[in-house]
Amino acid sequence: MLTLELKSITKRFGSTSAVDNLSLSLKAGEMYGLIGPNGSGKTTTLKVIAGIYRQTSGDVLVQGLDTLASPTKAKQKLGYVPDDPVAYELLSGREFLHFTGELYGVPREEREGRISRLLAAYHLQGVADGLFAHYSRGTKQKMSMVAAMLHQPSLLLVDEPMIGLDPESIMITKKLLTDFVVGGGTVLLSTHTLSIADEICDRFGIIKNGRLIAEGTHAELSAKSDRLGTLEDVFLALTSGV
Amino acid sequence: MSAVYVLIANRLRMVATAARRSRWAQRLVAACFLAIGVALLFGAYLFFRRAFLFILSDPISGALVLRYVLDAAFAFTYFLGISSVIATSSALLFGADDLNWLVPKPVTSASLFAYRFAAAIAASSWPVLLIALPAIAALGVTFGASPLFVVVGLAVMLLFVFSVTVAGGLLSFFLAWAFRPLPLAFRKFLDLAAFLGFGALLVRRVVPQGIFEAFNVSTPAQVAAAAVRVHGIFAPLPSHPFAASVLSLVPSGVDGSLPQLLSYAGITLVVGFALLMAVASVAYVRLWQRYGETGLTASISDRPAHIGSRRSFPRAFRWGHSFLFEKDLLLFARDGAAMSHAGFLVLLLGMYLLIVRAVTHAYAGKASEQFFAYAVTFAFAAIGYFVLTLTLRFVFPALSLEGRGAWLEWASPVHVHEIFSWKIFFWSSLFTAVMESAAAIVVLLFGLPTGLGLAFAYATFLTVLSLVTFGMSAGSVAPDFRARDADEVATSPMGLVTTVGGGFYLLIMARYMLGMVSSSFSGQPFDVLALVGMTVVSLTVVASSWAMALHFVDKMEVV
Repeated sequence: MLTLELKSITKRFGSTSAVDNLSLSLKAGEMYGLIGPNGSGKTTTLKVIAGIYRQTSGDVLVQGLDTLASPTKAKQKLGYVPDDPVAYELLSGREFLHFTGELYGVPREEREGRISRLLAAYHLQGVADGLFAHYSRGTKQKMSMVAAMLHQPSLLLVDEPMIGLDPESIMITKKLLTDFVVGGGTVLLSTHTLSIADEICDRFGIIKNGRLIAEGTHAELSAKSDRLGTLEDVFLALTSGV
Repeated sequence: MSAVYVLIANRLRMVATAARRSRWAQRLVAACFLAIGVALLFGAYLFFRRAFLFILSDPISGALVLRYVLDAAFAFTYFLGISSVIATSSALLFGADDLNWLVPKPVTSASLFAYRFAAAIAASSWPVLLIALPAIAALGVTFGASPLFVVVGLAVMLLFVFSVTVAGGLLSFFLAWAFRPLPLAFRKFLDLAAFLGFGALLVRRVVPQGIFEAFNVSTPAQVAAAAVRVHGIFAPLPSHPFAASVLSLVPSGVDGSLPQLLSYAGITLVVGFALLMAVASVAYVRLWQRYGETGLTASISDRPAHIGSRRSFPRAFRWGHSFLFEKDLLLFARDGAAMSHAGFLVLLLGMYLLIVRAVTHAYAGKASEQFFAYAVTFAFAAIGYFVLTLTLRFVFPALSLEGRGAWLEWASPVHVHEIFSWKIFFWSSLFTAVMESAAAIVVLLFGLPTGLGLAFAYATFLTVLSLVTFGMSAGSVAPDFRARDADEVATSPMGLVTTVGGGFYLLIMARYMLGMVSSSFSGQPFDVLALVGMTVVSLTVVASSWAMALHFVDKMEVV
C-alpha cells in the first residue's frame, strides 16, 4: 500500500491556483524531495496533506485513508514540521512536547521515554524547561522536529527543516530522517537546500506554479534535462523557461 | 534633540497612515469611543457645574467646600495620571517594540527616552481631560470666566499633564530599577498592589474621618479652623499648587497668590524634569536592556531561564481531551498583560457594584421598590456588560490569536469541533467563576431573598454561557491568524457584530430581570415566566451560535 497518494490536487485561493492538478505517490521507506522556486506551491501542498488547508478538488490518501473522509485517522499517521516553527510562546519546550503527545494520544509513560530520547538526540535537555518564547529559531525548529516524531508517524511532512540549524543540528536532522526512513517511515521533504536534498532523498518532484513539471531520481531528472551535474544544475535546467 | 523630533514625526506619520488605511469597522469603533469620551467629559462638566452651584449656595462654608472639591479632584487626577504612566510603562517606556531597532542606532539614551516620554504624556492625559478639565471649565462658567482665567486655566492644564507625566516617569524608573530582577507578571502584580495601596492611602488622606462634619460651620472661627484642616490635607500633595493656581482666580479664600503658586509649580516641574532626563540619560537604555532580559521579550538564545521544575503536562486535567483546557489555563495564567487587563476590568466591575450599592444605600427607606428593582437590574446589566467586554477582549480573538501556532492543533488528530468546544468550556468556566462571585456580592449587598438570589445567579450563568458562545462563534467566522493584537481583532467588522449582538441580548435579559425583580419586590408571586424567557433566549443564542461556529470551523484554514 502506498503511504501517500495525491490524486489531482488543486488548491485555489480566490482565482489563484497555488496547487494545480498535482498527483504524487510515495511508498513506505522512501524519502521524497519536493523542490521548486519560491511560491511554487510546496508549502501549500504540505499544508493540504496535513489538513491545515482544504483542497479545492482532488483526493489525499494517507495509507489509504482519505484525509477529508477520515481526517482524524489520517492525521494520526502524520507528523508535520512547518516552515515557521511558531508554537505557544508561553509553554515550555517540555510542556509543548507533552501537549503534542496528548494531541496524538501517546500514553504518558511512553511519551516520557520518547521525549527524553529525542531531546537527548538534539542536546536539548538543558533548554527543555525554558519558555518557547525564549528559544532561538533553530531551537524552535528542533523542538518542532521532536514533536513531529513523538507519536511515531508513518509519514513525515517536513517543510524547510534545515533553516536556522547549526551544522551539527543539520547532521542530526539528516540522521533522524534517514533512520526514520530505514525504519519503514516515509518522508516528504520540501526544501530549497538542494545539496542536502540530493544527499538524503531517493526521489524528487519539481514543482513550479503549482504543477509537477518533473519527477524521478537524480539520474532520471538529469536524463530528462539533458544535463549532467549537481541537483542544482538539473533543477535550474528543468525550471528555466517552464 | 533633532533625533527626538524625527522620531516623533515618524510616529505621527505612522499613526496617520494607519488611520487612513483603517477599516470602516475600526473607524466606527474609534468614533464610538470618541463619542463616549466627549459624553463623559460633558457629563463630568455638568456634574461639577451643578455641584459648584449647590456648594456656593451656602454663603458660609461654600468657598471652603469648593476648595476642598477642586483640590480633591486634582489630587485624584494626579494619582490616576501617575498610575497610567506606571501601568503603561512596560509597553511605552521599557518594552516598546521599536526600541529593538532604535537602540542600535546612534541616538542617545536621553533622546530615546524623550521620544517615548511623548507617548507617556498621551497615556497620562486622560484623567486630566476627564476630571481636571471639566472641573476647571465648570469653575470658570460658574464664576463667569475672564480671559485671564481661560489663559491660566489652559496653562495650568498643560503644566499639570506635564507634571503628572514627569512624576510618573520618575516613579516608573524607580519601580523598573527596584523590580528589575523579577519576572514580568510578578512586576505587574506588584504594580497593581502599589496602585491599590497608594489609592487607599490617598483616599484616607483626602477623606479622613469626620471631614464632612467639619464643613457644618456657622461662625467665622469654625470656618477658619476648617480651612486650616483642608489646607493641611492638600498642601503636601504635589497636585495642590495647580489646584490653588486656578482657585486663586476666584473668590475661594485659598492661600497664596497666582504668581507665587505658578512659580512654585513651575520650579518643581523644571527640577523634576531635569532630574528625570538626568536619570534617563544614564539609565534608560540600561533598564530597557535589563527589562527585556528578565521579561518575555528577549533572553540569551538557547539558554532561557527555567520556568519551574521539570514537570510534565498535563498536571491536573488528564481525562479525555481536557488537557486542552489546561493548556489554555496555563497560557492565560502566564500572560501578564492579559491577566492585568482582566484584573483591571474585574476591579472596575467591583467598584461599579459598590457604587450602585452605595447609591441605593443612601436612598434606603426613601425610594420606591421600583427604584431598588432598577438598581438590582443595573447591577445585573453591569455584570453582563463586563462579561461582554471580557468576551470581546479575550474570547472573540481567541481563535485568531492561536495564530501561526495553530498548525499544531489543526494538523493533529483531535477534531476541530473538540478544540473549539474546549475553548468555549475554558472561557465559560473562567468567567462563570468570576461573575458568579460578582453575582453573590450583589445578592448579599442587596439582601435579595433566596429564590430571587438563585434566579440572579442562574441568569448570570446563562449570560456568561451565551455571550462566550456567541463571541467565540463570531470569532470563528473570519479569524485573522496573522493578527497579534487582541484589540486589533476586536475592532474588526465581526467584533462590531459581537458588540451589537451582545448588547441586544443583554437588553433582553435585563428586561426580563427587571420584571422578575419588580414582581418579587412588590410581593407578587415569583415571575417564573421571566426565568423561562431568559432560558429560551439564552439557549437559542447558544445553540444557533454553536451551529454556526461548527459550520465555519469545519472549513477553517489556518496559516
